[in-house]
Amino acid sequence: MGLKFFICESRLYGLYEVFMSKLTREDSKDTIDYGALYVPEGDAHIVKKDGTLEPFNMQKVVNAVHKSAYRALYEFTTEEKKHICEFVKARIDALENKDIPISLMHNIVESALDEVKPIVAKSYRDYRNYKQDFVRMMDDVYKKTQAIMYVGDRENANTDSALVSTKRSLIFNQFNKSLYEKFFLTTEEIQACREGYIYVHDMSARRDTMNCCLFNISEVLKGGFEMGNVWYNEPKVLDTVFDVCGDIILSAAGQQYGGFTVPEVDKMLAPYAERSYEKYTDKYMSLGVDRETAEKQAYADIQREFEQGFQGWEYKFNTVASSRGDYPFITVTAGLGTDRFARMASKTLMNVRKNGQGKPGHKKPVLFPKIVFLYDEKLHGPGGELEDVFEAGIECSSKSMYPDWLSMSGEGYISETYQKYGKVISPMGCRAFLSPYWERGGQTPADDKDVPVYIGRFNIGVVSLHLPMILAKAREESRDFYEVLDYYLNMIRQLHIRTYQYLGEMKASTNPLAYCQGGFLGGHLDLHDRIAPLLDAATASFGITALNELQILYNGKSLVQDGAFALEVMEYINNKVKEFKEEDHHLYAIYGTPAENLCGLQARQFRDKYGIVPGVSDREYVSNSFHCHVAENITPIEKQDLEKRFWELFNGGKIQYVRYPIDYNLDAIKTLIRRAMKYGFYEGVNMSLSYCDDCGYEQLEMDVCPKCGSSNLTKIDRMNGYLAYSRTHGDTRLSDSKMAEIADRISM
Amino acid sequence: MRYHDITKDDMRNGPGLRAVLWVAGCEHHCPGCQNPVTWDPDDGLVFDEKAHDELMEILARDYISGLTLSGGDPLFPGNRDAVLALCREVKSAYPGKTIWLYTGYDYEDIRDLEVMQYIDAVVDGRYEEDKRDVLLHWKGSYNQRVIDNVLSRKTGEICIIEDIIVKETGGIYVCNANS
Repeated sequence: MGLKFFICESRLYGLYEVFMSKLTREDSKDTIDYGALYVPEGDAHIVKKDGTLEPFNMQKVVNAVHKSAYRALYEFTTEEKKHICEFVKARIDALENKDIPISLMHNIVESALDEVKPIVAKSYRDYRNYKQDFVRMMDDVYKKTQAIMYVGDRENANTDSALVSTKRSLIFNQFNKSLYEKFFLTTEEIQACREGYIYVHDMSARRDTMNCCLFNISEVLKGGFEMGNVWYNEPKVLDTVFDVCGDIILSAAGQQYGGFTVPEVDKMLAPYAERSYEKYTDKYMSLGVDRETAEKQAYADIQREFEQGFQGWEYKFNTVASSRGDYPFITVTAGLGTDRFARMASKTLMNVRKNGQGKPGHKKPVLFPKIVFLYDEKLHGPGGELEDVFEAGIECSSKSMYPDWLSMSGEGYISETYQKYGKVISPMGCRAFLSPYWERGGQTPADDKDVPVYIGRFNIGVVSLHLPMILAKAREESRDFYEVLDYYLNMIRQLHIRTYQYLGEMKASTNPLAYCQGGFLGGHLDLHDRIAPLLDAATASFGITALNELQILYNGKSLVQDGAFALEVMEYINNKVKEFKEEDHHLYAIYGTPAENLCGLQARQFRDKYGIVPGVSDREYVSNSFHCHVAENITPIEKQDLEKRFWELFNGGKIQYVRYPIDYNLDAIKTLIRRAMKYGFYEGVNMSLSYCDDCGYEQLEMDVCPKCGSSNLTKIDRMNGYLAYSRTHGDTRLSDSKMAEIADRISM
Repeated sequence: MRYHDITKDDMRNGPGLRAVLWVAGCEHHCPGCQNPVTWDPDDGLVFDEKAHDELMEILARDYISGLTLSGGDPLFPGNRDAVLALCREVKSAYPGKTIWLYTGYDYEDIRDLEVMQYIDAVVDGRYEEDKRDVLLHWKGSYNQRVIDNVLSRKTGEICIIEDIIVKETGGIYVCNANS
């Protein structure tokens, strides 16, 4: 045990060294020798912790404060350094005993920093105790490591924690999370996180990279590109495009931690299909076949290539873990392309998903890529040009839940943007939507003719509020709710500001496909350039969960019974975040948080601090974003209407879905989807898909196979904006709180 | 006529979202019946003007595909006059919406009733517990039939809308007898 601990710690310590050397790589360019310049009176010595004496040297103070400043993203001017040295020298000169204990020395430096630059003082204090802190941190990491090695981790439904690679990444994540808390968060922020008033998502990765994106794959492919120091020519035929895109997607998605979306994949693939078609036609004709037959055969070839291409992606994105250690969340959107091959792409995408993967008789739908159907009433409505694509989508949804349906022709921000500018705002990953960024004007339109850009942009992370706890705190301390809310909104804002600053220092080489090869907007940087300019178009999100529980805590009524207070709070938050946006020049967004593990954590945090309140903390979980409670006995129509109130107040991320007790009422699915599309919704179909792994029997919501009696089942449930295996081969892969929520579902 | 419930936005009893009227009174008394409380014709509530208006108000909504009559048995002798009047009214008020009828009688025995001219589809026959299968569409046991009444009246044949036959082996075959 002891030996194991030592090995573990020293390995991680090695990581720490690398980490620190990276952080302090910017050595001071200062040429002044402060040691010679500032010599205290008398023969000053430092008494080190082990009792040994070391002659005092002012240069060491300067080096230490430089490191602290660097970690706080600050650089001292020569004037400031001199001021610090003078301060320190004056204090030492005032001492009678010139043998100065190291702890006293630290206090003196801290006082100097408090005067010159308080944020650096904070950073210095954090660093000062790093040895003790690191031992404690290593111990925590070690314990978590043991749990991961022997028990597994169910925090994220996309991770199969039994795999060696996944365990490795889970352990690293644990370590990285500890470093984040230690070096990025302030004491107040850590306090707020621990108690649960805010939740910083993806702590383990958010300092390394950005969150989720709409990747511009066409821009990368155009004219060829470089990946992993190898030059790729632009593919000429469809099957190669599928192949190369699969590699680009996996490679680029591994360099971020959130959802990776390829927007309008039908339109992206169509030109390559057209080129292949011409090539195949020419080939057949050169063999002496007449044009009609040649075209017919070439057309069939393209159809086949689409089928194989999408199947290939399904295999790749569900079975090949990314360098992150899990399956990246990949989404494709489609449905608007009207030319023959775009239409073929959309339909084939749906049909491949509908038919599933697996042995004959045991086929079931895969989870990735998530498919989003872009619905335009003019094209997909009754009698529309693309009604066949719509029908294919409906059939697919009835079998595999996906696609989720995004309205381009209803009310609100997303539809209106499409109607006015022809620009599609695809969701990034499961449900995150970008705010407008203007082609010429940037964050504000240059003039009336400026158009918004969405493709190639990204988000840098989410921090969620815990509104019921904030209300409980305000009541307990007899303070105004909005005053307490402001405190946490500002806290999130400061975190975002620092994240923008911190990530801006990253080099383009951290993700060359995105920053150098055109995957992101403005992504034609040199490897050594900072990515700061690209962050102007990036969003950062304020997440909202448990709105239902907030309303119940407020007046004992659920979102079905009332909702006025929840609405008032959301309007307040929207106005406040708008002010922040204008003051900070950052694209802040408001996001309905899809709480997976968080749904249970927030319930526990509330209970720990404020006890059990019926309807608020008496279950194992809290509700997702602005959704009605899953156990509400309401019809799908009522659910749509109740959730519509909040729709435009969550423009940074939202989804609506209703439950279907049977899968063969296609007219019901059509009715509810078309209705949702009129509302401007992003609509999901929700069913509890279950498959017997022994006999292949499938039925909604079964726990034991009625045909063969086996409980070796695979079940697919909707988490929120995405689907997950709630059981595979009989075992559950979700957290207990999520399983409790799934068991309670009536209207979701 | 008496009834037990009016459900709205129902998607289990016919295509689309439907209004379902669950009437009282049934003489079949099938073992394993889902709603034995609806057998007694004197139980439940009177289908009065208020209930009638509630039903019509639901049917007026654009997302409601039609009315489903269930129960009980809408064709229980005591219900037939009221059901006829209701179907006539619904069809004239909403000619674009469909009426589905669940009955324990065999189609052959009821196809000539006056009410049948207003009915779009019939799910017929007693529920037989030993023929139950949850994979069946719209019906409980596989002796029952989902019949396209409009087409059947036109052709004189009994036209099954869609049938899933679950063979003893567990194999599932979907046949579309309509085409």
